[in-house]
Amino acid sequence: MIVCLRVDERLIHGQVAMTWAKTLKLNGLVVASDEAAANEVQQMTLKMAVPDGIKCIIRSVKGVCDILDDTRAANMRLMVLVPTVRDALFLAERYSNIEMVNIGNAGKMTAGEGKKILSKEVMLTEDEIQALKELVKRYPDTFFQATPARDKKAASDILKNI
Amino acid sequence: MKKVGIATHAHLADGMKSVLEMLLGTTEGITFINAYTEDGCLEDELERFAASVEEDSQGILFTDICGGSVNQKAYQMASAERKNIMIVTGFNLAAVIEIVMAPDIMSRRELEEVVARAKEEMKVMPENVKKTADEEAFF
Repeated sequence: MIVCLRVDERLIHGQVAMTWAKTLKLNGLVVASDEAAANEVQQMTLKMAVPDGIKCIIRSVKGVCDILDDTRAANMRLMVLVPTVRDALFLAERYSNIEMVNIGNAGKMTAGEGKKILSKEVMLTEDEIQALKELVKRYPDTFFQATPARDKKAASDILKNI
Repeated sequence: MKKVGIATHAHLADGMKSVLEMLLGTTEGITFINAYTEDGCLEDELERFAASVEEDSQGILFTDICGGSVNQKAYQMASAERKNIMIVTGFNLAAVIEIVMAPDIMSRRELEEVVARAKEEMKVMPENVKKTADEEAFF
């Protein structure tokens, strides 16, 4: 079961993995990233960031559907991590039973033209803002929150104010 | 409500403050002591930390290195106080985060368990990448 679809350009990292995994009682982290799927060294470092007792699998954004469609995935509490809002939209359009859609970190690690600052952790290009709007249409409760202890804001509210 | 403090040589404590702010959003209530800098006097700051620990509560003070004077002074202070103040020396980020996030008062044994886990965090990164059949391992 996809407990959470999270946009985080850093994918699995340190304390974020631990806090979300604990709060949501996850037993699996599914990374959907074309870049990570093609990079064995990155796969190794991502796996090292996974907390003990939690499983992890890394696939491309399209390739991850094989994992999420597997009947065995229904019995696991999974967080699906994608690096961009567009990737999240791709999956949101295919899966209607995601419990929560979370925007964590985006746009601060890589270059891009004309980004707007949406929050402390999120900067998006025009194209990505469009993708976010479509994501919120599909999942109106999409929310911005870095870790479970921090401020939580509805994506729809943030979009109203930009 | 336990009181947490971090006391280090120079500005390592402030460095920890910046990381904790990033990861946890706030460091409200945590004491940071940067010893031997322009900010005040170590003994005064340690005493102020001790004073901030309530009677029926506990203080957990992190220090940077066991043999250092900061830890030695901190230990002398904690021994002289009749309050429940425990010191974790040679801290790493994993230990600090886990203890700051633990909601309740911790026993010595619980602290020791956290430290044992946190010690595992320090390792030399391996050279080789192992390729395994990961789909079988996942389900």
